Amino acid sequence: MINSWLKIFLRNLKKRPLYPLINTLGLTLGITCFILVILFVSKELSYEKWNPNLAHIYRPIRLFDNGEVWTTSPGIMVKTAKEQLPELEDAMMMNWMGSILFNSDGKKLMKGAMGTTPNFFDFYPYPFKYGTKENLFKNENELVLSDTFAYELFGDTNPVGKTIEALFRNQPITYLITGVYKTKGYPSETQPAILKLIKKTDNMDHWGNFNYTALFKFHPGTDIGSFISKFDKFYDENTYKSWGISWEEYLKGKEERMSIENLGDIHLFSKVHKGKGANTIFILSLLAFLILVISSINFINLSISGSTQRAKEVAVRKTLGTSKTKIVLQFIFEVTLQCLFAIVISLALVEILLPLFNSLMNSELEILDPYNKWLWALGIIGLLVFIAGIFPGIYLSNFNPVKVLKGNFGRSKSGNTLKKTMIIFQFCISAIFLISAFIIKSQLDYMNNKDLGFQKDQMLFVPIQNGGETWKKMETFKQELTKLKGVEKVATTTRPPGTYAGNGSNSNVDYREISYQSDMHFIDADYFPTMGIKLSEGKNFIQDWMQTDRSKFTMDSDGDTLLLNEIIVNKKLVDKFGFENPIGTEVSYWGYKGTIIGVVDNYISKGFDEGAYPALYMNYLKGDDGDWGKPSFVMIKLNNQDVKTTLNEIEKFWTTRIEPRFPFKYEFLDQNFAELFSQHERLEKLVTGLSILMIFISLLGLFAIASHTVQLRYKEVAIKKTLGASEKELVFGLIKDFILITIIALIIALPISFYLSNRWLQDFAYRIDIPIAPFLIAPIVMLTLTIAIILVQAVKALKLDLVSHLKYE
Amino acid sequence: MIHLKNLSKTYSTEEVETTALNDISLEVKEGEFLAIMGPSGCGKSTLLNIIGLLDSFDSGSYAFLEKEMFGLKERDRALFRKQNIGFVFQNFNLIDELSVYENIELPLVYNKIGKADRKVRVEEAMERLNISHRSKHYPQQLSGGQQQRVAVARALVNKPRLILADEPTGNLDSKNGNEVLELMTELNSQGATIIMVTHSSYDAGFSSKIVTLRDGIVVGEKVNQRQIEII
Repeated sequence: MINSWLKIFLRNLKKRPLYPLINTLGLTLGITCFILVILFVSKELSYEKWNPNLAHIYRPIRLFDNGEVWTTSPGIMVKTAKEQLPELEDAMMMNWMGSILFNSDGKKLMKGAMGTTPNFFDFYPYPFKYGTKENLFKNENELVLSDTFAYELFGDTNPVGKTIEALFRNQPITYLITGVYKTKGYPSETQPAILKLIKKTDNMDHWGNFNYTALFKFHPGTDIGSFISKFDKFYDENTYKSWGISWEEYLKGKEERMSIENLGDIHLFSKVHKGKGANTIFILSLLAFLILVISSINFINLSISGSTQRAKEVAVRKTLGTSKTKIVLQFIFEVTLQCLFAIVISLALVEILLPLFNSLMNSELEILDPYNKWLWALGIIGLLVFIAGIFPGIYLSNFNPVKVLKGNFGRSKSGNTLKKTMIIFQFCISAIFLISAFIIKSQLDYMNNKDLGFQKDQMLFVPIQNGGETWKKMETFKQELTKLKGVEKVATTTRPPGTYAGNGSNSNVDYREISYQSDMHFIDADYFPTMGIKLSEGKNFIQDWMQTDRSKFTMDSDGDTLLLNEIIVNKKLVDKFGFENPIGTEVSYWGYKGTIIGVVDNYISKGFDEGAYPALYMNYLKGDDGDWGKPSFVMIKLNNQDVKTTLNEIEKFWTTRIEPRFPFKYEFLDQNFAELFSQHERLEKLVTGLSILMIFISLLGLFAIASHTVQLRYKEVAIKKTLGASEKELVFGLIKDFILITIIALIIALPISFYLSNRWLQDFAYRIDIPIAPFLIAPIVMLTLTIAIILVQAVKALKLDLVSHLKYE
Repeated sequence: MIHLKNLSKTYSTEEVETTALNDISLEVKEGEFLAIMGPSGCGKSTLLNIIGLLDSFDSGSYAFLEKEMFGLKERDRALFRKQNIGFVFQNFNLIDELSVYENIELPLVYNKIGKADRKVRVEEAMERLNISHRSKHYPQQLSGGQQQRVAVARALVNKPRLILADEPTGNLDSKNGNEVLELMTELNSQGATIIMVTHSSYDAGFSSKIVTLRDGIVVGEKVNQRQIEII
């Protein structure tokens, strides 16, 4: 039987290759997209899932009433929790220690090192490539490396037991490599290139210093729900005691609480993402699923259209006594053959397209990654294929053989309605995505061109890597840099706008009884002029360094000593506090009482998702005590002439005069700032690409259906022509149904697109109003394409041979 | 009304060239009921299609109402057709998606007749052919005889000067066939010119003149003494 099915399938393929070809092509495209996205989603969902202790590991977090989330913890809290909370089996903590500069065979490599407690590998049980997880982190001179970084440093050789010369915090150190752990196949947010023993510092002992990333491991069977409230109380009780204030007083100021979240939730579902962490994979999955559905619909539509040409075969088979089931099975068999073919081609396409997709998505996906959800992918594809096959099967098997054999077949109303509904669905979805792509593009253009409140063009910034030495001569360096040809202005800051704007401290700023969180910046006097940030009131700083005069201090109401200071704030902070005359107003923060000497305009520092945030600016702290309050970036404003030469000059100057032993790193502010919305840019590219693909697949289907429908109407056209219908009347008669379908689809699509676009735009603090153009352009584009495709078919119908179509059906 | 002079047509496929009509000359006067007879493949349908402006010819001349039809553009042929000619086919050629009423209405639509006027004329035609009660039905719901009556109604609704019938009784039983033939005779007696292709000499007996074709050549032409009287 299968033999006979196969024979018939192949002969039909030879006779009428158009339908199966279009069918398979559309399906191939759909499946390819779907698999690519599944690979991406698989990777995203696989973070930490390999960890056998996953269920028992949680990260402490701090939730603020205003929605802010901190994912770090005080060191003392972690230590105390382990002692006082019996639910904990273990606790670990880690933090970034700064960069280590390695000198490996004359090759300079600089990499950030993660300090950790020695139990890191109890929490993250990565397997070891070299060495074992025992006896690590005995002292600060021992390092564990990731396999990728070990390869960069040592190539393929086993480095365990080897020593390497390095510079850390400007001190030469010889490090001993004690282990290399494997990262590939173990997706995690925590895969530091270098692990070393955490250094005990005094900021570990303060209950208000949230500097460490901590993880708790619970005893199996712990009731997490009741632990959370206990945990918050534990923190409060310890903290108020350490601060030496009364319980009531502490509670009055409490506007946050401690909580925990599971390790497995960190990547996508952390509270820090505010419920939007999985948005990208959600949107992607939806897109991929829809594209698969659209190609399946094509499949169904084309199969039904094509199947009418098979009606006679089915009728004869039925007359000869085949059961309905067998006819359905035969069609499923044919569909399965086409689908298998499509899947095989798709896999090849995926392999070809994966590098491109990886660079678009900034990912490193591979077909054979162990966590890929192939079962899901094939399951969903299989299900859709089954539905796509069973539809035409049932449709055909329901034919009345007598009618078919007498020739009264081909114009079943129900089949037409089904086909039309599906085309409407396809067009509707395509239109929605086309419009959405336009809107996302508009918002991106807006973000690229909006006045940010500062100069982002021709602005170079260079991180200071060798703090201690560089800071000492910062003023001279600035002057000499300014003298270089092509350099206009030079300034320094701790917190440039762009991807680094999130780094740095926040603090409560208090004015009488009112208190708001504010972004804290240390800057020099050249910062605002260099960045083109406008001072709207008052004056700028006149010096770069704060000469802390310890004789000038004041006492606050609690009797604490506050150092006097001059500060500049932004408008948002003034608005929050409602200062009418901000200049001269004194606010307190950290250990300072700051007098406002100037107010600057708000500028967009962290991207377009968040609105303006209160900001406070002060001079750097003078003195040798640590990294706190010292410049971390040099901002260099270039003029437009020959940027390349200027850049070379700066590099030469930087690597010979300022930081000789360090690799020169730089970024351009506009590019860095664009990274803030690279995710949106990716979304735009994806939605545009996929919507074009969707339209292509839909039109492919439309083309086949139109040609089929028009063919079915050849006799009608011939009769009408005989009766004297004009060409205009005939063409209109043929295309009007399709135009109507397109218009219905567009009418449904417009409000949905409007709603979705509005939803998407709501997440931006700075956004466009929904433009009207996409709602006009997209329909026009789709109508034009539809009409073009159908016109071709209709015009073909006009040329038909009247006589033969009048005689025969 | 119709003058054919030395009209020829050949069909050519990749391999063979078939002469369908060879040097045909024929005259049809207004008010005539002409039957074209002959065996299968003698060219009678081709001749009818050329007269009906559905098909073109290679040489010779064809004047319809004293206007030369040779080399006419499709648009002008369509215009001529819809104003002057009604068709009745062996397989009825009704449009399945349209009701009886709508099928009959079509020629009027294409002739830009107003809606109210159309209604009067369609109803008149349906009444005349005794199919008013079927007006909302679709062709597939009708018997063959009824379908052909609808086709005849469609052919005459525009009051054409010429009705062309291609084996109108070929798909009908003798009772229904007779009805259709009687109908045509009646239309003829009311002034319509009719050309009918048939290979039944019984059917041809209803006509006033019989032309016999063989291999694309007119082999006989005789004036018919009506054998069947209309009561």
